[in-house]
Amino acid sequence: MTAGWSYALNQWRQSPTSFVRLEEHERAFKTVSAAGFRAVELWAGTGRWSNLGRPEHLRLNYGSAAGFLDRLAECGIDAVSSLTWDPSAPAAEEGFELRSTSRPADHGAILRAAETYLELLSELGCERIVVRATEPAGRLGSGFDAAAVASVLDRLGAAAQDHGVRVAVDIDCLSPSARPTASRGCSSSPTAPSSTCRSAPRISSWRASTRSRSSATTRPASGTSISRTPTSRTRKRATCFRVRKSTSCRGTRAVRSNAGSSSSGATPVSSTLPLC
Amino acid sequence: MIEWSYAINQWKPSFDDFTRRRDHERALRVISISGFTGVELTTGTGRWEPLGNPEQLAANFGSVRGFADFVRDAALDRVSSWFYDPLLGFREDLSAPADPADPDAHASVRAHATWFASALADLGGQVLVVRPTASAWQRPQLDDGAIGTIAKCWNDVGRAIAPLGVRLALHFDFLSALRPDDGLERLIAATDTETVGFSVDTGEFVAAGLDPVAFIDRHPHRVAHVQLKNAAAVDDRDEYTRRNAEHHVRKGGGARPVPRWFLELGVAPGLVDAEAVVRALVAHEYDGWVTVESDLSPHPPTSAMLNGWYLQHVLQSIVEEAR
Amino acid sequence: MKWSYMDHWRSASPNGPIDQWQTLDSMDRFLKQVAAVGYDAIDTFDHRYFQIMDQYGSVSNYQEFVQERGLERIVNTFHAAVYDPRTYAPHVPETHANILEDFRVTMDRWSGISLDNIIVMPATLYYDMEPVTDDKIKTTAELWNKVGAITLDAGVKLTCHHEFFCGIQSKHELDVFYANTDPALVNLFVDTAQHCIATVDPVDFYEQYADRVTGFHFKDTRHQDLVGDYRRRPDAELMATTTPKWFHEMGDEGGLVDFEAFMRAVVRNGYEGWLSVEHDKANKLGGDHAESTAIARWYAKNVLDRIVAEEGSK
Repeated sequence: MTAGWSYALNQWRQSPTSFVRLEEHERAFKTVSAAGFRAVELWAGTGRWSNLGRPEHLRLNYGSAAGFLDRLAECGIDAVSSLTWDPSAPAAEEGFELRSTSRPADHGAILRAAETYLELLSELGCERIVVRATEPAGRLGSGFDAAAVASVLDRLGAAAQDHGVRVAVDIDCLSPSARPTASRGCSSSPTAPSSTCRSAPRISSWRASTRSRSSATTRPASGTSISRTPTSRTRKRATCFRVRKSTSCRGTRAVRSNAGSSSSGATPVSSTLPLC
Repeated sequence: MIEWSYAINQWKPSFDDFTRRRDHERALRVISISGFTGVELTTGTGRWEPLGNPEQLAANFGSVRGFADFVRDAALDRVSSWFYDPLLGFREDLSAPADPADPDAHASVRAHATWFASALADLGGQVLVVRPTASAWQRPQLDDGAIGTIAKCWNDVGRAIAPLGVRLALHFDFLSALRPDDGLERLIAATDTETVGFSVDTGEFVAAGLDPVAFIDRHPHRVAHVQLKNAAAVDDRDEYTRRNAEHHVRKGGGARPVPRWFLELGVAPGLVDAEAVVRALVAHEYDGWVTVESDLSPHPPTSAMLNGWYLQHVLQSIVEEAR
Repeated sequence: MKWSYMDHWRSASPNGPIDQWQTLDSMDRFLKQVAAVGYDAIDTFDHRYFQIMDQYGSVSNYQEFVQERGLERIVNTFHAAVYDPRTYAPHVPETHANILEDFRVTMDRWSGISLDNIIVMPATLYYDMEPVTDDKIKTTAELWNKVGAITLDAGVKLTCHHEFFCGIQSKHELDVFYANTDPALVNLFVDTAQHCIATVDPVDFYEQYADRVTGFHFKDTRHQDLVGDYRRRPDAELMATTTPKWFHEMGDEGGLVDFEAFMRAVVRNGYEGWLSVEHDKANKLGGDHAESTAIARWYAKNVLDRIVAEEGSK
């Protein structure tokens, strides 16, 4: 497999109401192309203002996945390299469910939600879905379950493979399992970063094989790659989960339809609400 | 009595900004609704400086008095003051920069100062704020002879504009050639106490390592104008002596670099004690304009509004308590 | 007349544009700017509850934070529901139980302070309600009568704000809706720009329903929707053909709303509540929320106050 360079479009999404109009997309695509990149990375979102982040809105705005590819091509972009997706982020289109990869009862809903994206990626000829492994430590509390996370990622990998897509697991700085490893090759040596620090790049490596970075702790499904070393993962377990317990909003999930049914006080998805 | 105005200069970060009438109208309205009653203009030259000098005012507003009407339409009482830097030449009369340390330039300085003061009088303004000399990197040493020359220039100007009802206020800044060797105090001593006043720019004083309150206490009768702004840092590395310090230090932040030299009043980590400044003014029965300034602001409306809040909720009560 | 500011806001930060809810400092700066230019209070969105609990501990704590910066209180909340015909849609009776429960929960969350109104868009997006029929509007009205009873029981008036892209926006649709809602339970919140865009004259509309009006959004627009943008999929508000920026602050040039006539009508009808200023999406096309907020308040003080005085002396 050859390596290529792609650029993440998420930087243009500076607020819920920004980067909505198609002419704004066009300018971003042309900018990316002019800067020498031949592919773009999408990111999943929710609501009608996230029109590159929801498959139904992308198709609606560009006619079809093929129409979107045509528009990219007109702007000098050859491909969609990848799409980032946070299964724990509530989406209006999925009833604002607050899912957790650590909670087996949520796995069915996560897999169903993934299917929507995998179908789109298949239509786009995109080979990679970048999946956030867990919700942030502050929201997860003591509920982190590595085995459950691994299990649903395995199943996601298998489902993705059916669509010709591979799963790349994304662990970020808010992840409960990321904090103690910061000194390990991430911050002390800017000239020679560890490969484990590349899990959330602004410039993503496109078509590069990620198999070499696979974790030994979690046996990946054939379609899954995890960008963390076993050492970092096991160290995290001992020190990272002393997060404060949520103080508010318990029980609000019963009201599925209204915005912001967050149980943690985290920025609610309802900040994207399209009303005035 | 203290009157409060706002400096317009923050709205013009570069030469091609702030040229349209709508921009001016909105800026004046923001100043007005934020609680200020006057506006301070800054000199400029050329067709992209509609507020820069009397000729441009006339070209854009019909006349100087036409601009006064424009100001009043924005619910401001008047122009409080005009900042004039003689080291700026004017395309309008093809004049060259005039350095008060150069005796040959004095006639030009006096003529232009009178030009501005006349217009200021028509605008209802009371103070011509001037940059008394060049930057330190341009004139690294001002011996007593040079101070005397500069003083003579401003004494002449002070006498020339006094009949117009306009006071002269020499404005010290942290890049000034008056900074080393106690130049500011020497100039105070060399100038006419009756016709030459000074402007205390609190942010510039603090950035230069000077205490504005101590200055007010030391020279209460020479304070003819105040520019009130906060400072975020002190130039304690003598970076003001660097060539082209206006670009590299003031705008560029210097070697550290300093992201913003000047901040809104009352915000951390500001170094200016604005309350103490106002208390000192009140104690000395200062009667004149305090111009709040936020030059180099990254967001002018927000700076004006935050400063307006501080004026209404903190500073005005100090003035009212003294009544 | 007291003025409240509906809290749409963006400001610059090293991480790009942020809203005021980012940190306590950004909220402090926001509130001081609003207070500085003479607003007496703020309105907010009730979905901010989660950030309020996270950052301030309680709704009343947040209101104290507001008051410490020179503002009287929080006057109104906007209940910005995300409608979905499958789960939450006023014209779909099967979803009504869910909606009613939502309002019970919401009123409980905000019970720590005294609110004047809870504002709703009373219908889904237009395209989710099409074809808009009188029967659907009546079903919608039945729901809001019930919701109004819930909010009134909590001491808060339910009031309806008709976005130009919602399912009840034409004059006929509005008339049917208000004919089928209980004036004691369902009120009207007039957004001058939204009605103007929908080609409903805001002055005439207000005059017709003045006795049901419990608040206003004073905001302007430079465009009317003459091409059917209101039913545009997936979005009419930001993606319209007509313009990338529907809303402008009052007092800006080129506006279509006759605010002087509107204010005369407000005074003539003896309105005694709060007046709210709004200019959502003011940052589009290079705009700036702080400046717009100041300009709108300048207009209220220097133009509309005079109108109030003139009309009041008649």
